[in-house]
Amino acid sequence: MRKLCLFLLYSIISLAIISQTHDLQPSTFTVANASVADSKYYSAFKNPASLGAIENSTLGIQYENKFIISQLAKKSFYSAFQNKLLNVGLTANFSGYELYNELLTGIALSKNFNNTFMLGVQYNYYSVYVAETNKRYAAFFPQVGVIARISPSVSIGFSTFNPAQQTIQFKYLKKQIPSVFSLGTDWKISDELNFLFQTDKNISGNYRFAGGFEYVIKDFLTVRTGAYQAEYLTPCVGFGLKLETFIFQINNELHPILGLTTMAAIQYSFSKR
Amino acid sequence: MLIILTLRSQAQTSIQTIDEIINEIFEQYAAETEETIDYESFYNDLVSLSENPLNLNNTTREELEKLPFLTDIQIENIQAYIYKNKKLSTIYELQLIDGLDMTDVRRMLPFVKIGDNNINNDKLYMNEVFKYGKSDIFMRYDKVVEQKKGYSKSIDAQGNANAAYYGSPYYNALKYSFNYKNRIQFGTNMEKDAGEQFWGSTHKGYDFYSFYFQGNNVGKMKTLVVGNYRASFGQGLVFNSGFGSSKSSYTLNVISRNNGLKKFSSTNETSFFRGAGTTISVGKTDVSVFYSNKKQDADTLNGSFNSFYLTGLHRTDSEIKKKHSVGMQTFGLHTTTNFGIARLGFTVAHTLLSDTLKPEIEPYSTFYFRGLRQTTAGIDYRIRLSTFNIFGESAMTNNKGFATVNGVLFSPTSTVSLIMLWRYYSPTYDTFYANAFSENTRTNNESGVYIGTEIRPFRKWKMAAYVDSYRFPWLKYGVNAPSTGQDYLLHAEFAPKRNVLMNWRLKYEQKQRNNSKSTIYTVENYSKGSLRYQLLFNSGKFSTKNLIEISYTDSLNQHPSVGFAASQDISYTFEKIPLRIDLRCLLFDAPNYDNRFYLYEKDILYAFSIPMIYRKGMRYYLNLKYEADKNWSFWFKIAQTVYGDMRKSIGSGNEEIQGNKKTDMRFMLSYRF
Repeated sequence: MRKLCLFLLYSIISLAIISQTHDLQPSTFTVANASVADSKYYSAFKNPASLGAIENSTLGIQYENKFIISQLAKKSFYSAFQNKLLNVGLTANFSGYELYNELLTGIALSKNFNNTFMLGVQYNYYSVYVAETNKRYAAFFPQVGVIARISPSVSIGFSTFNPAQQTIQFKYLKKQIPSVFSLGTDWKISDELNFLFQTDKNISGNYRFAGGFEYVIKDFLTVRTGAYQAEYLTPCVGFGLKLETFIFQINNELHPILGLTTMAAIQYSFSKR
Repeated sequence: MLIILTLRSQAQTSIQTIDEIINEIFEQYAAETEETIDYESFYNDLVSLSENPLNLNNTTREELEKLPFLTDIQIENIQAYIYKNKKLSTIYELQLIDGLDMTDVRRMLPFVKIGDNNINNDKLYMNEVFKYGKSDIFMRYDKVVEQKKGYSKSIDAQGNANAAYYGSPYYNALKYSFNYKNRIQFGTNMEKDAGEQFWGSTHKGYDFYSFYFQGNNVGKMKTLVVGNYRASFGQGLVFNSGFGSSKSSYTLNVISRNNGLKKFSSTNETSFFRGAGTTISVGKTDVSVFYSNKKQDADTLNGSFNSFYLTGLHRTDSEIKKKHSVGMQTFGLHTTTNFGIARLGFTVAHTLLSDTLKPEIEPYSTFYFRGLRQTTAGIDYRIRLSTFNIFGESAMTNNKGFATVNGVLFSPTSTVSLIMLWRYYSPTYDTFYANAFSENTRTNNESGVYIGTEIRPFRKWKMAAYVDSYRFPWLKYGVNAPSTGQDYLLHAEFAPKRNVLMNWRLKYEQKQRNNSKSTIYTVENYSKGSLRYQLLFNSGKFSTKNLIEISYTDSLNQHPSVGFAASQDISYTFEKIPLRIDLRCLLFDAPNYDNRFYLYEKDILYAFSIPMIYRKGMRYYLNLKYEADKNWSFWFKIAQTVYGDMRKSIGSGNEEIQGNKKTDMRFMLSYRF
């Protein structure tokens, strides 16, 4: 109970001083968002291949507050259903405000092949509401991911989000939906320590290089620290708390110009009968 | 025993088809070159070999040279081992031979066997030829999904709606081939390129037809070729219509090999001879004579033409006008004599054109061949002295153009091999069929020294490197002054586990070219570098490949620029159905043409892609192979490139496509009986 209280206290403080930038995909709680090769957890719009690794069906919610601007905050929901043939995921993310808002939903299918290879495909529906025209504009696009365990300690991951570079045509302008290519690795240095590294490239944007360590202090407590370099170097720190079937996650990142972003997530895993 | 078990377990876990092994070899062979290499011939040669593997206990050096991934030293070591131990008892003994690693052995396995007798010397019986010979029929269709400008109709002055291209946007090829134990091979090819008419005012049927026949050890003839064929001798200074010796990460393989007369079974419409030829053994001497008479495409005017038109495309009025407008006759003779440790050869070629070749008079083309007839003769040699292998060829044309290429390959220890090659091709040496080791696409106007090495410094590691320093003593296209250049390559390969392989390749070149911003003719230095990392992982039915490549270019008039490409490949072979799928997603960002990438991609049978990747975008493909039964096979590929640089169109002229997407589809069906 004391652990839970501490966690909630930290969450409240963090969320009160929140901030972040505008991306389409919500962040994951892997260190520095270097999640493409990370199959330990599943979360919203993460590499769909990671869905193949889940052992129990899961539900989760996530709140990401960017740069203390509530209009930029992302509210996500995700659910993952485990079964023998294919694991199925349903995810949704909402951000924006009354005059402009975005809804991203997806359905994912993933298969784990002998725990050495995971393949996932997700189909996303993205819609934008613009009050000026009182209309929603929408597009469909896929997301494909792979995680390969090339040795017991090294995994490599790949994910592509909107590879065909779908766009949304508004009344006067065309909105480019980010088309992102990600490659990364997860190196299990020991049972307690993991190193993750990832590079992302948005076709119409900059490269992002992210890396960091995840350290399991106790079975129930993990701390994470790392950084990513896009236009600026952004340090990241966070931790996760596992309480039986619940997992609580907190991540913070400090952008040198725009300030702090905090993300909190709660995940519930169903026990196997 | 441990080695045998290791190799056996590798053979079980690394499930690779012959197609994949051939692709892997070709990829490494062709990845460094920007020239188009005839993949069909390369593929056909190796497939024929896989169907009739070499008996290692009764094979010759020339036969082993058909395996392009083996170095001369490795061939030497294989022969020395067999000589010393009388014979190989099992294929797994290959692991014990100096200089052969697991990758080499794995690549050799489909093409070799262990036996006692050489059946190739058996008598030929016609009833057996047709009873046991294998026939294959292939049908292929290609199409670009988006419409190109050449197919859209416009109204002419008479009010008629016409398109620039006469034909449909489908490519179609039909092939038949027959093979009896690599001794009797024949076949025919028919092809229509996209945009060429199949039936109408310009064509009645296919645009290109070919026939070939090759017989080996037929009566007194070592080889007999009829129809379309290739001829390669010596180091390629006089004849090499096969693959030229080029720079690759096989840094020791710059010696021209796989010589002789060979069938030409490709659908390539230009680089072959058409006629007949034979090779006869007389004691220690092999004599090859051949004659070719074929029509080439060119833009002729008043009995002369500027250059050959080599695309093989006949889609528009102007392209159709060029078709088969110049006759080209070639007489060739080659003799080679073995003197134990040495081999000496002599080659002569005489070419006669029906129209006079008159290249446009430009400073760079001052020394290009002009005229109706040309004779070229050359002498080639190879000498083996201890661990040294000395080789070379010198040749001269009737207008006193001179060329020579000489080299030495040696291996001081089983873990280190070195090669040094010097070439000098005078500006006046401009002959039709030369294709020797060079930086230029033409084998002329060049001198240089190439030094290559291959080292196995530690277990599981292999390193290769080369340095090539060259000079062009006269002007060349795009360079209005004598110029120089240097190429460097460092390739490292590491196999930490039997199913994981990674390699790094660092390449750098410095050259000169015209200074586009100068008002007077001056040249500028420019440099290009690239760093590539590849990780290959094979897990039974699955295999993945990750690639990251960064390119860098710098020149006087252009800011330094960096290009980036990364790809993910996945292949899966289904367990219960005879289906294999290959998927790739590639991201590329090459801001300048100099940053362009050449990245191999999997394809349907007989198609081999190393597309040039340039600008910014993504490319992805799906490749399927379905083997319905032992007779029927089916291939399908769909690939799409989506550019992310806000462009409105792709390509230019009649090939222009509106929008930022280009989708290629290919389909192939084969039947074996």
